[in-house]
Amino acid sequence: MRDTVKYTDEELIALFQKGDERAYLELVRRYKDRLVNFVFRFVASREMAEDIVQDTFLKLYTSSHMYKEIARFSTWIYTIAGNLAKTELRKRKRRKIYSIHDMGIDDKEFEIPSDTYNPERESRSAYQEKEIQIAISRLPEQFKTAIILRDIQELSYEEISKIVGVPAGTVKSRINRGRQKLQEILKELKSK
Amino acid sequence: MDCYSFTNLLTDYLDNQLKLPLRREAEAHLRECPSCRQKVEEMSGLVDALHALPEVSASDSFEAVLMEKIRHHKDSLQHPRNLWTLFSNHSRTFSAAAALILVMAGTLVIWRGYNPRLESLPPLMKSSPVLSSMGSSGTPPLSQQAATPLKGDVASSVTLKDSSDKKHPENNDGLDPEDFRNRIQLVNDRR
Repeated sequence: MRDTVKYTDEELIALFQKGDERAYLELVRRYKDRLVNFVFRFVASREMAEDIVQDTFLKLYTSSHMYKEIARFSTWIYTIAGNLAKTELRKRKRRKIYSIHDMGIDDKEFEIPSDTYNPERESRSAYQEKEIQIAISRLPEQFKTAIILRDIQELSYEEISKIVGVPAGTVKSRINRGRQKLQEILKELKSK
Repeated sequence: MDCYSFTNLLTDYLDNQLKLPLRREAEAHLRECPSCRQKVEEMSGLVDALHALPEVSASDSFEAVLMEKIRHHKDSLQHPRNLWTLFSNHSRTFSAAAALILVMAGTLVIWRGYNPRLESLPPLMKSSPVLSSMGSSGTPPLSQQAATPLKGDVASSVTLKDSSDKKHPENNDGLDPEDFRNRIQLVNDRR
């Protein structure tokens, strides 16, 4: 295989389906950071986010035949990662080992990625990262997904619509309501 | 445009998704409405804050751990270490086997429940109050099975056919009607 960097995602997955493992590695390199960032905003734990994204890539390795070229590869891989993250959140809720919903603003368990923490940037922002992460965690699942994909991952409405499996109009409405809800939660946190 | 309509369009307005005529209407409303202006300011502050969240990236060991997971997965396919791994790796085979066993067990139960001897009983016996309460399968309903102590008697009255056959080989039904009536009477009396 020639230089894998020149290939599109869809070409790489096609090569991997034919058994080229270098194509698989290139896909991992392209997507690992954005998927870890995406899942981290769901589960609020870097270790867990990495674990879920590794499981996503393991699924890609074992079930690459499930990918059909009718969808973009990015849509497919985001869908897998999102579903695994949601499953993990539900498991956590059931086990009640740890619930971010019960956390106050001073809880120390809450994780901020230290290597990217920038106090200067934070002081300019109207909200602190910790507050935002707690507020995101308290959003209903469908609003949370829409907000993370749109406002953090900066995906288009159309792409979100394909990942979530609802019409673009519904995505817009979820983003609108999600932002309003997020604002309410943040005001509530500030008033405490 | 009123405040309610504007609030519904807020996301489209902030994300620059409004078509020009609607955008102009929204801007006209904003010029007149300080409350909606404040909403726009607050919401755009929130969206900016979300955009500005630091990006979390994968650690240096990410790929090495992933490769280890893949290697472990390959190993478990070749040498299943426990029953659960064995089951999860071959879940389709196990499911098919379980379905086959269920079908075979079901067929056996239905087959055993069907009693060809009762089908060949004479009309007199079929109209007996004891036997008429039995289903066509020749087995009394469960409620009766539990309540009646006559189960053994009913069974012996059905199996009478064998001894009657020996006594009256010329009889096609294999039973002496008189003898049979007496036995049915006996069963009813005991009931």
